[in-house]
Amino acid sequence: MTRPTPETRLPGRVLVLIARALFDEPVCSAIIDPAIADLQREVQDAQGTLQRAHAYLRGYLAFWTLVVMAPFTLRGRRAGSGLLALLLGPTGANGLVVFVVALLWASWPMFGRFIAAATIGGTLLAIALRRWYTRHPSKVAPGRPLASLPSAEINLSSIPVAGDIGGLFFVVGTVMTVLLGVPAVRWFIMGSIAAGCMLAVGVFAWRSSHPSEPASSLSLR
Amino acid sequence: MRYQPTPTLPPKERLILEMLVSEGPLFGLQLVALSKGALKRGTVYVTLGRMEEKGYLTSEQEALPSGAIGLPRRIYHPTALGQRVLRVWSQAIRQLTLEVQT
Repeated sequence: MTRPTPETRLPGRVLVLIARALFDEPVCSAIIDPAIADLQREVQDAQGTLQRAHAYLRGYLAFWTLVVMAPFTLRGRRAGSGLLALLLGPTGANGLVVFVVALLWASWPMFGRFIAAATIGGTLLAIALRRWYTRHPSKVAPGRPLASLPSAEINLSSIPVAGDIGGLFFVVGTVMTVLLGVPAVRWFIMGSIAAGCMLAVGVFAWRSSHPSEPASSLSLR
Repeated sequence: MRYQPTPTLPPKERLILEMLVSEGPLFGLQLVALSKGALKRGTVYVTLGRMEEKGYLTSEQEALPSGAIGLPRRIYHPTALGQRVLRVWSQAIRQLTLEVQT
């Protein structure tokens, strides 16, 4: 078995390779390499395992901070097409992931563990919704062509919505978000939910007792 | 007439220039240490790179001693333009503070 040489034990070798793959030469030489050089120098100067581990942690954190921030801070400096392609993806959809990660990172000091719980809960809910829709495909309500509407306008009450479990999830999620964000309005929301449920029961009963008559669009809005 | 943007000096750039003028040429990590938390390791090189582009700083790689391994660090010097901008900016701030207080 061969012993590792000083070059192979050099800290940050992998970071150098990653940097060369992600950034172009001017950015590497002016911004990324000095950060890796600091890591290498600190690790070499560190005395003891604890100090060395601390130097590694700080150096790696600095490097990955640079990588995450690069699309936002180096736009005018040619961050490298490799990096942009990786971060944004061929259709730009990966940019959403970068945005979400940045948002979580930025909001962590304010909300702390709540953000982690909300992220995990939201991911699980998304997976559950996806599984539900795979097994029970949505019935999309038929919409009216715009020309048949009395006037072209943006009116949420005119948007046809299929009444299924997806709509229920959306409504419950929205109400919970408002309740968590603005607890002062909890009694107003409780009253609105009760009134809304009673109205829904009334509309349902009226439409059941008059199945042949077309419902007045005005009375249901 | 060609448009020339007014030189600006954000607080972090001003701090870096002040340290370089008072302490002499410094490495990035030394700037972070001297700033007592005002500069972060993850962002200091972005700021330094931007200042080099503006012409406020120059940098050069340190000469590695023979037998040394690893990447060379960069040492930063203020340029004459950087020093002039710092001087004018500091005077303007002093003047502004005086005007506001009186």
